[in-house]
Amino acid sequence: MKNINILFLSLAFCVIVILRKGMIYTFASDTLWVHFFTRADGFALENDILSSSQVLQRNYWIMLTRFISSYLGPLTVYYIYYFINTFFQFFLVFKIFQKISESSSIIKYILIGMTISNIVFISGSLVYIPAGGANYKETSYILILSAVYFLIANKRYYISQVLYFLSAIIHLPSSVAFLPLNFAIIVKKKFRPISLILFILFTNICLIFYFSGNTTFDQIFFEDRALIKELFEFRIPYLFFENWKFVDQISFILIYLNIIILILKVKKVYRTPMLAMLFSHLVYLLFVNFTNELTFLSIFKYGFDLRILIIILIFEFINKLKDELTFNFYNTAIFFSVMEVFLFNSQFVLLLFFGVFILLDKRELLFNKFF
Amino acid sequence: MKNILKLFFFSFILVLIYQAVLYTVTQSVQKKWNTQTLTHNYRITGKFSIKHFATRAINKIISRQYFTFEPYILRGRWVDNFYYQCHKTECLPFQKAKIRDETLFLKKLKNFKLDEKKIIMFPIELDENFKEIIFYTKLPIYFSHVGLGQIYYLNKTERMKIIDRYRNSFLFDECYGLFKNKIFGQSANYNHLFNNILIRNKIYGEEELNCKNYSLQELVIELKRQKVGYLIEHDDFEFLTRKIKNQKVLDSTIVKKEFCIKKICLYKFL
Repeated sequence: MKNINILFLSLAFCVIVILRKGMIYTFASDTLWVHFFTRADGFALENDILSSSQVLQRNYWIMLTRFISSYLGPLTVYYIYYFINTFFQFFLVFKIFQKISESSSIIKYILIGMTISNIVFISGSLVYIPAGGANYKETSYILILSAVYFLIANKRYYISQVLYFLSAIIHLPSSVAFLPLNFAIIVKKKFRPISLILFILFTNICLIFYFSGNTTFDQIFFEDRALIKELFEFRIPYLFFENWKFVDQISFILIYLNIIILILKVKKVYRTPMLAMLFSHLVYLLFVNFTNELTFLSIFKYGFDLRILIIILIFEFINKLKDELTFNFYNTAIFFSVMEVFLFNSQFVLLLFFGVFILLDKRELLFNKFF
Repeated sequence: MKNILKLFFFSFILVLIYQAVLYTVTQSVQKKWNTQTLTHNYRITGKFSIKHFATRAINKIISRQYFTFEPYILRGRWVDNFYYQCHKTECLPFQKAKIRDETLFLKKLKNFKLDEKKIIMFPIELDENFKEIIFYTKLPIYFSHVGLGQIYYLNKTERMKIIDRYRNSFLFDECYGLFKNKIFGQSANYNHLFNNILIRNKIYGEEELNCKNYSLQELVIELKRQKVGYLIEHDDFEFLTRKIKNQKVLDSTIVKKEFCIKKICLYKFL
């Protein structure tokens, strides 16, 4: 697949997304925060309730956006931002696929584009791909996709670390998606000291940046902690696994089951890094479980770590398409699953077929090429 | 090429069949909100309607799957306002969307000269209908359910300020609000749950959330003390306050009607 074709395909999907979903300024639940980002002229009462949670001090992205907005106007900035974000999302995903699959089949690219052009909820906590809305989370996600591109496609490890770092200071929870793959690569490289140091350093700096800016640990010991916990469960019950819809719970478990199936089928030499990857995801699961209990630290959600992995699973799945496009089990199941995501944004069927494909199919896995 | 088109078509049919099966299953078990126990109940209905299924499927395919705000470009068509949640065929590309009364009201509000040192208040019951307000005015809003989301990031003093605002808004809405229960019943359930939490944690006693203990005048004085300058209400609100005035209560409770769009009006606290 030539670069020019990828460019045009990305633009085409951009137009499809905008016609299909409109220009999403913000999701309802994010309204509280998003309004600050492009409101360059500020509020009449800066010290009132809306600004009391210090949103403006949260990160440099907001400051930069407001600065640009003051010259171009908030909506112009938003339109440019939305278009660039949507375009780069497709472009980067296609580029990553181009590098690892070396496939020239345009239909595979179209199917991938269809899959990520609708909202795919990864967890019941409303973590989703793709990027959408004028939100710092989306910039963070685009940076992570770029980091993965440099990590996998061009083997430029250090550039990818810098991109991850930028992503993390914009929105730490979104940047977490990069860590399992990064960790797996470090394991594959047998813990080359410089890589490990960089990895730990960046992770730590990001954590310090984040916590020093927003949450103080002494908040946990507030006397009205029980009240906060109750309000938390009342206002955002979807953070807790037990409150999810049944189909979301099953889909979430299926993702982890699919990782295990992949580990069983991947070449032996790649099994250790894959185990490291699984280990990272499990650690994140425990971490979210722990922080949800502490309320004030609950800035992470189930599924943030899976936003890159799910893209890789989609690659792996669609790559199973047989070159001769006849009516067979694989082709029909792939078209069916993609159509289900594209029209009804449900990834359940895709995840179900994914496990079956990996178990049945004898062809080499794309995952082997990631390391 | 032919094969690709066939595969797309065949998978499209398969997806519809699959969705029809899912629809049958979900329709046989219907979720119902129980206001007594404040939980969801499930009951077997056994209903299946092809028309309902087709409408639901098309609606899901063409509309966005999550509540979003779309400014000025709505699926390929320019509009001159922020748009919240298109419905059914309005969501098709290049279709004309019906502009709501609330949107017209907000557009007028945007060009209306407001006192910048004041706060706007609207009934919690209208929370869903006035989400776009933050795009139209620089004035802060007194309380909204979305605003409640920042409560975990604040220190205790600020948190209590928000909870106090909630109580004032709730009482105003519950005891004297004219929009009460006319728009969304869900909001009432939400408030009921929230009140339970506050009472259980001894933030308020039950009597502090009881209408009997608060007159409209007291509430208005409290709101004015907290810099609330404007109120969005039903067009009968002026009548209510006039009626109270005739009963020889404080003059400070009087409001002045600034403008109305159909039944929705902007009032100024005098």
